[in-house]
Amino acid sequence: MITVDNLTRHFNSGGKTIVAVDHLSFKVKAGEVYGLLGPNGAGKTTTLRMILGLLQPTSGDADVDGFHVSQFPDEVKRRIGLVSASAGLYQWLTPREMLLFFADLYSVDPAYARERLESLADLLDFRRFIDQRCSTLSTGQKQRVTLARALMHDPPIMLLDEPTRGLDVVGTHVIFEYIGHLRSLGKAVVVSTHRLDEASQICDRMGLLHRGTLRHEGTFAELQRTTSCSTLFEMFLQLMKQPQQISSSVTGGESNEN
Amino acid sequence: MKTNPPLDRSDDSTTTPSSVLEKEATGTGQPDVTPYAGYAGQLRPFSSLRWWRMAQKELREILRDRRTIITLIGMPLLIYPLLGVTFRTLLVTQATNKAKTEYRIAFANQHDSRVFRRLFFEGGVIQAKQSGNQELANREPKGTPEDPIWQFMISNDHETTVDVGSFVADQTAEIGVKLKEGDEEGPWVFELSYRSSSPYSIDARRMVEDRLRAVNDLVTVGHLRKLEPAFQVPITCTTKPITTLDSGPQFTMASLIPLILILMTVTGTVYPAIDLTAGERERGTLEALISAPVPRHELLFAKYLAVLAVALLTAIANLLSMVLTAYSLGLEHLMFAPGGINLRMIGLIFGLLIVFAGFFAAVILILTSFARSFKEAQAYLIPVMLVSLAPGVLCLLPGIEMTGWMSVTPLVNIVILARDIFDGRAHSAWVLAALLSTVLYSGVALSVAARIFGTDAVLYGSEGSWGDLFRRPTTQRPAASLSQSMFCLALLFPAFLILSGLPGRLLGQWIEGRMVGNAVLTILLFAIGPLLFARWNGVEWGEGFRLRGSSVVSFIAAALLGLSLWPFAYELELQAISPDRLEVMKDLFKQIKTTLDAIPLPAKLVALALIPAVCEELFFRGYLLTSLRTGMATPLAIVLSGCLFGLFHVIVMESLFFERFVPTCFLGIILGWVCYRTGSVLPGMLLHSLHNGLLLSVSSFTKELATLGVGTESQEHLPAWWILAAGTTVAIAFLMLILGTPRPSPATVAVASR
Repeated sequence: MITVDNLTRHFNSGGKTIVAVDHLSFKVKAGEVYGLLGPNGAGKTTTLRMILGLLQPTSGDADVDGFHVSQFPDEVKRRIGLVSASAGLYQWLTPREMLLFFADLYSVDPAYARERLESLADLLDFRRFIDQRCSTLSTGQKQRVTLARALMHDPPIMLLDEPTRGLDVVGTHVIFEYIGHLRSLGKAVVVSTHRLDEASQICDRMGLLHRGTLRHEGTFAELQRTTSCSTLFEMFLQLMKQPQQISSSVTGGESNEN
Repeated sequence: MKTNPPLDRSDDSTTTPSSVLEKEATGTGQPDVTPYAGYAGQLRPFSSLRWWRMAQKELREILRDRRTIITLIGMPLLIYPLLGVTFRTLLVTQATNKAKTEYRIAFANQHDSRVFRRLFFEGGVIQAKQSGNQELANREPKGTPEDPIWQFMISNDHETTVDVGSFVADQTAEIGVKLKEGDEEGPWVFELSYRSSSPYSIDARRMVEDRLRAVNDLVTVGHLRKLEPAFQVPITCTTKPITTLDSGPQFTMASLIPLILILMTVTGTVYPAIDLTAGERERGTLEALISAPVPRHELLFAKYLAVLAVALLTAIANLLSMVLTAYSLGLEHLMFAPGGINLRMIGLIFGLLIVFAGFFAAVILILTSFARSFKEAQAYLIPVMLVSLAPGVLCLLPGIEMTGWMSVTPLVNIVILARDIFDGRAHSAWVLAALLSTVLYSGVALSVAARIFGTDAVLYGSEGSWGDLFRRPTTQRPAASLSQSMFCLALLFPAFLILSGLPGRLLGQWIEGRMVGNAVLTILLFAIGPLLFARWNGVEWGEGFRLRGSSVVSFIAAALLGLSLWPFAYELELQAISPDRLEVMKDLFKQIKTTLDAIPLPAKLVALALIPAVCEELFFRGYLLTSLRTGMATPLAIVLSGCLFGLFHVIVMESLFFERFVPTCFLGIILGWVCYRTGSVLPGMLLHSLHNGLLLSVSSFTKELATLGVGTESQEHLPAWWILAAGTTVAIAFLMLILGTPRPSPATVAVASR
């Protein structure tokens, strides 16, 4: 479903070139949850943005459901649902208005969009406040609406960028269920997170990202074998201790990681 | 309850509406891999009116915001009554400060003064009696104490008669009185001169008229009591406004109105513009919006419409509040042109505000699209507001007229136009230039904003991408993009407008020089300029200007059209022209003809037929039409390029020839179609040159043609058989083009878009 091929992104900052993502390649199948793991500034968000076509890669390309991002950005966007921790809601609109608006942006048939809204309202349990202004909603309620928004157009591919950031236990649990649901629907899911404890629970396969490069990839068992560490935490500590491979590409980082 | 799937959704059948829940029920936790069957329909960049629904959503959002309502309705409701009351108080304090207002009346001679003063005092007494002040009325015929002091200026000499107008003009007196008819006995006709720009003088005039009317009323009542049906009103007043432009800048309320209106419209655009761009970025909704498969320019256009709508609502609220305030406080005569305020003027002002708001909203959207937060956007906007204030104030100075540069300078032209509409004198040829250039600038600003809006530089704040915005493309493109050609047009239009008058100014009556100058200018503006601009943008000349060969049939057909189209253009022009206008045009053309007769025909043909034809084809059909076709349906692109071609021909030498619009558009559309059909600009060049050349030659061989029974100067309709012959030729040429050239594939330029 997703093929990332040698994706590279440089940023200019104060005259210096920063390599945020460095020749990154991986594949995600349908029905698979792929974890993109790494500390802050590893290049996770930048990678997701490039897959979605929001950021132009410096080199390399991503292929989504047979479409190259560089050539068919709209076809790619049409097939992807994005859940981002930093996403906000239109505070003067109600969830109903906002979700139908987004369905329209994805050219979803209005009648179908209304049915879909109903089913998602049950699935994510936001029927109670579906006609309240978004500004009056609590964080947990907003989260549910954001999750519904990504599913309005029933995309085959889901990108989740730090979905659990800033959420409490209940919110995190909702995310876990949500990801399980996506897997059961056969969607290809990419989850970026720095919460290593969660990753092993929800991801089928994972890639360990450090300073823009993929260091290890595989199922949790495979990772344990290759790194001879028992937990993801240890694996990361091991990675951090390794000397920098390419001295010129110093301090990889996303410019906008809050 | 399943309804028929509307057009939006192309493959409805493959996904059942309840797929989520069904799978949820049957899901066993195992990956149930199904191929994607969502909404991957074919690319539909403008899905049925989606931009309109998007704009509605933006508007709904912005109108629910209380802050919008405050600027939209609260401010105008507050500001105009406040300004109005302040202004009135100012008038009153001016009056009371002097203890008594002093008005000076100048008389043409002693006799006039005697007659006038008798009636004037009489009127004062009547007014006093009417107001119930019996005591005062009995005492002295000098009016009430509330009355101002009237000073009378009378020549010492019995014989001399002075020009009262000059006293009024140099502000020695407020009112000048001259007895036009009548002697010691009535009826009398007085002429009252006053300064139309001075509220003080206008007030004095009105008081004088009131007093004289009181006399009239009394007499009328007397006659009516005696049941006399036929009687004559004793006093008639005519007024003579004296305009005093050179009396120094007078910042009256009226001169400030256009500026206030424009500033208020600006305030209307600022908040929604920031909120819908930078605000959206700040709240984290922009990323989700950009992630949707909607072109960024469509997103921005919807936002632009919403901002424009709010700006117009603000403008309406302002206009209403202003007019109501003026009416209720009785200030309308001071604020507006002599005719007071009327619906036509309000309509004109509103139309102007639409154009202005359209321009300003686009400019502001550029800035707010740059900004990454509300604060940043405000920081960008404050200097712009201050800068835009300066020209606004500048053009309030008297003596600034809408000509040349002024008409194509953004903002300045609109403020001047607003002022002229209020003064009731907005009908110069430059109005069109001002409106058209503003519309063009708006288009350019909007395309720039669309280019900035939602770029990763704005979205994620990476510095590297700022340069990309102005970077030349590295790859060649087959056609200029819509925004590039609009930018080129926006540069070309003012340049053409201003420079086309230059040869005449510089070279005066030296006709050969002017002709060469005009030819050089045409080459520079319509050929070299666009070619260089296209080269800079990486547009291939061959494809982007349609500079390529075509079949022999195309050229033959084009030649036939070039020889046979002129009777139709001529008849169209004859339809559009009025008899009065015909006289003016005849004189003008006679003038041009006599000056041109001195030049040998071949030189004329090159300078006035060949060069304009080749250069105009290169720009309008080669560059502009090809570019327009990347962004719209071909028929629309042909009509639009034809209309633009027509507009460029309407403005000639600082005056307007609307008669030329229809024939030139007609020609432009045919030339556009020929270019589209043949895929080349060359047959059009041949057609255009022949057409121009033929018209020129006809005027050179007037005598020879007259012997054939055709009077070129009598402006009669052409003989029917001429039209018939020409029509047949045109039909043959069209058939040749349709049958003899391959049908152009629509995809030839579509790929080149953006």
